[in-house]
Formats: sequence, C-alpha cells, structure tokens
Amino acid sequence: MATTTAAGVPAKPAKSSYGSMTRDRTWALRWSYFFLVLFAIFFLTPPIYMFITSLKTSAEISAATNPWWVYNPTLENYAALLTGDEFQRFFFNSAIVSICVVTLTMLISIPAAFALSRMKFWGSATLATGVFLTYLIPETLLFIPLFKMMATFREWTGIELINQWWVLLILYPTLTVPFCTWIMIGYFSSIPKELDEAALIDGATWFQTLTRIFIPVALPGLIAATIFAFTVSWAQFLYPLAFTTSTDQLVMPVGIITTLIKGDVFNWGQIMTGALLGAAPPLIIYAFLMDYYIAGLTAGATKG
Amino acid sequence: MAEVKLRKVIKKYDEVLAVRGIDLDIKDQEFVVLVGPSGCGKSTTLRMIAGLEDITGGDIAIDDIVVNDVPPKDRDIAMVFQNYALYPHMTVAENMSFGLRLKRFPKAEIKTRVDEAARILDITELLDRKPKQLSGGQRQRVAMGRAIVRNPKVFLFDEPLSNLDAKLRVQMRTEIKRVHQKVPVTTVYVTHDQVEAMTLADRVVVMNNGNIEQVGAQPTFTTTRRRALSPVSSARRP
Repeated sequence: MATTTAAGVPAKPAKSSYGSMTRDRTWALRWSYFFLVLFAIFFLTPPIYMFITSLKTSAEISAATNPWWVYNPTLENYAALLTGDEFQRFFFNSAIVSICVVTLTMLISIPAAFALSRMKFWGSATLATGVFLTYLIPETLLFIPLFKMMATFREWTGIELINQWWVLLILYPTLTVPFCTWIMIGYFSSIPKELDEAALIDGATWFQTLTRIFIPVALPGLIAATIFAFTVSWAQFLYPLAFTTSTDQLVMPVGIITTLIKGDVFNWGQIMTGALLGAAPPLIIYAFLMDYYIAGLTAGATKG
Repeated sequence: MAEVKLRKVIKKYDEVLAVRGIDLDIKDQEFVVLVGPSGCGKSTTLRMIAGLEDITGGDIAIDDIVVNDVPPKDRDIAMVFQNYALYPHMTVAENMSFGLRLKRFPKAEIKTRVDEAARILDITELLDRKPKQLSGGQRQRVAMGRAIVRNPKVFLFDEPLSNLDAKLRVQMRTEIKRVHQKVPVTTVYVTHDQVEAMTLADRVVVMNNGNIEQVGAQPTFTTTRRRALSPVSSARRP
C-alpha cells in the first residue's frame, strides 16, 4: 500500500517496467480479496436466504414483500419442526445411518487401503485402480440395478430389503468405501517404507503396524476420509428416495421434501428451516475438524 | 551376542542377480563393515540378514540357526535406517520402548533399559521430545537407542550417517565406535564411504557387482579396485 501512496504522482518513471515486488503483492492481494468476497457472496447467499425465509410465516412468504427482509420474525417454523415427531424421526434416522456408514466405511477402507498400499500381492495395483474406477460410476446409474438386486434377493430369501432404513447401510458404502480407500491409499503410500520395516523388526505384526503406526501417523487423512463419508451419507438423496418410502424409514433430506410438500402446497418456511437444521451437523463437524481436514487433503505435499 | 554366517547367499530380482553367492563369517561381537559402490549388493545383503528381503539361494544363520524363513521379529536383530525411520507420533522414549512394549516387557524393565540406553547415547534430556523437535544427529542417536534397548543379537546399520553433514558424520562415527565398545554386539554396517569403513570396522568387506572382492582388517584397495570404487564413493562424500 505504501508504494501506491508514494506513486501518487501520475507521471510514470522509466523504472516502472522493472515492476515492484510490493506492488505485485498488493495487486495479488486485491485480486484475492475480490474473488474471495465474490465467492463468499455466491456461496453464502442460499443459506442466508434459507435463514431469512425460515424466520417468516407462510403468510409473509406468500405476500409480495421484500424477500430479503423479515418484517415479523417468528420461530414458529423451528418450533413446529423440532416438536413434531416426524422431523425428530428423520433426524434420528439420518444420524444413525450416517454414524453406522462412517464406522462401516472406516472398518472396510482402512485395512483395504493398508493392504493395497503395502502388501504387494498379485493384482494389487490393478485392484487399487479398480477401486477408484468404481467411484467414477455415478449413483444415478447404479440405483436401478441395485433395486433389481434387492428385489431378486427378496424373491430368493424372502427377506424384504426395500423400504427399510438399514438397507442404506448396505447402499451408502458403495459410494463411500471406494473414495475413502483411495484417499487412504495415497496417504498410506506417503508414509516411508522404512517406518513399517522398523516396526516389523521391532516385532510388530501387520495388524499392530496398522493400528499403532499407520493409523496415528495418517490421522489427518483418516479424518478427511471420515468427514467425506459422513457428508456423503448425511446428504445422500437419491438412494433413500428410491429405496425408502414409509415416513418412519425416511432420512432427513428425503423426509423434508416428502412430508413438507403436500401435493402442490410447498411449506416453504418449514422446508427452509428443515434444510438449515439438516445442514447444521456437518457444519459443526467441519468447524471442529477443519484444520485436520485441510492437512489431510494436502497430504504428502511436504515431508513431516 | 551371536555369530552371523552367510553361505552361498544369492539374491535375484526377476532376472537381475543382485548378490551372487557370497560367503561370509561374522564373529561374535565383531564390527563388520560392508563397503562398495551403489548397486553392489551391500544393502541387499544387509536386508537379507534383517529378513526384509527373501533369500533366493543359500543360507543365512544367526547363532548357527538357519534363519532363511524366520520373520524379522523372531531373528532378534535391530536395525538403524538411513532416514532413521523414527515413529513421528511417539516421543523419544516411546520410540525406543516400542519393541519392548510389543513384547510385553514389564514397565520397570522398559524404563531401566531406556534410561540406560539414553545415558549411553547422551540423550536423557530428549526422552520426552517428538522426533520433529530433534536435529539430525539427535535423531540418529534415538535410532541407535531404539536398537540398543532391544538388546539384540545383531545390530544392522544401513548407511546411517549419509543424511548427516560432514562434520556431524565424523562426530557420529566416533560415537558409533564408542557405543560399540560399551555395548559389544555383533554389528553389520553398510556404507559406501571407505573412510567410514576403515575407521569403524574390525573387518572391512569390500563388495562389488554382487560379489565379495576383499575381506580384511586393513584391506589393500588395489589401484584397479580403487578406481572401481572411488568415483561413486568420492562423489557421494561432500
């Protein structure tokens, strides 16, 4: 900034072609702030709008007033959702599904990633690539064959899988396990080979090497994977929409739209409130684990 | 305390012969240095003694027991790596005691051993630090401490000083010699540095191209030999 005030004189000296580090820096900073503010506005507008709407009565929402201002703020939408049984049920279903899926995902992908990154066996490299390729298949393509599989399973065994909340525990890992395994393969591979050789010589079994060396050392990566798995299972919409229908089996994203949209009547106030409350848990988790998350995503960038 | 015997040991990676049937007898408490240019098979030999590499042919015996199929943890050996390989999430004390804790040694015994090793290596005041907070030389000492506390039959060193600067290297060389005098355990030490080999060793084993070329207390590096060795070794020396 000091340079700009000093160079307040309009005449440009011949020296200017050399440029100046501080001036470059100032402009770099200005551009950064410009884009940061732009993106902040871009990304924060929807939640702010949700928040504003959630404080309005249905009457005010449908009235032709300024949509960005609340004239008669009310908490009745929050009260209605939080005291109603349905919303609590959705929240509870979402929570239990997400926690179980995260646990399951970690139990599968940590050992898988360890094996794929460390134990060289026949086809391990192909398998590692295969894991990632699986992730590239969109879920919109998968839910129809999955549905068919569930139906066939019922024909053979008589066990009904469709319209049970726990079927999501089988479905979500198909999305989370490949990606988490992939993240963790990368992370585990960045751990120097000597570390597990040292552990091996120190008398550790493979399992002890994993639990006592790899997991603690790769903790940031693990947390990144955990957050990813949680976010995916918390926000997943298509699978629960296709596989669960009864009100008591629904998770939050689907629950909100199925119960709060009645025919062509949109209960916007409660929909926004529900969406906002639904976004809260991941937000809280992110806030606490942000530093770890960033460290996890930049894994291997520097040597520890 | 143990003898290490290598009999016609061969290591083959796919079609490449890395070690071409070497014989070597290492006496109890002896300090043997394997020296040679890059790719001469010295590290591979060490890793085969450690059990980190399979043996393609021949036998390796520690205390007259053939250990070809014995996993590293049951060979009763300790190894110091070039990059130290300290566990970054553990303190110095935890690093050193890891092996003992895995073997479920009593707490008091672990403490005695760690304290003793720390005293020998002069790292007592570092016991509560994490590896990140240590200098290269200190890390090297911790890596040696981790080996000492185990009280193994054989110490294996894989170019332990090549990550240190020249001055510290000379200092640590003396240190290793001193530790070996205090804790006289059979030692196999790999380096590409002839001076290091000469200062440390009871016996120097010169390797080249997967073969042992010379063995002796004061090997006479012949002109041809020196010519074969020096480009690599002097290039590596700062």
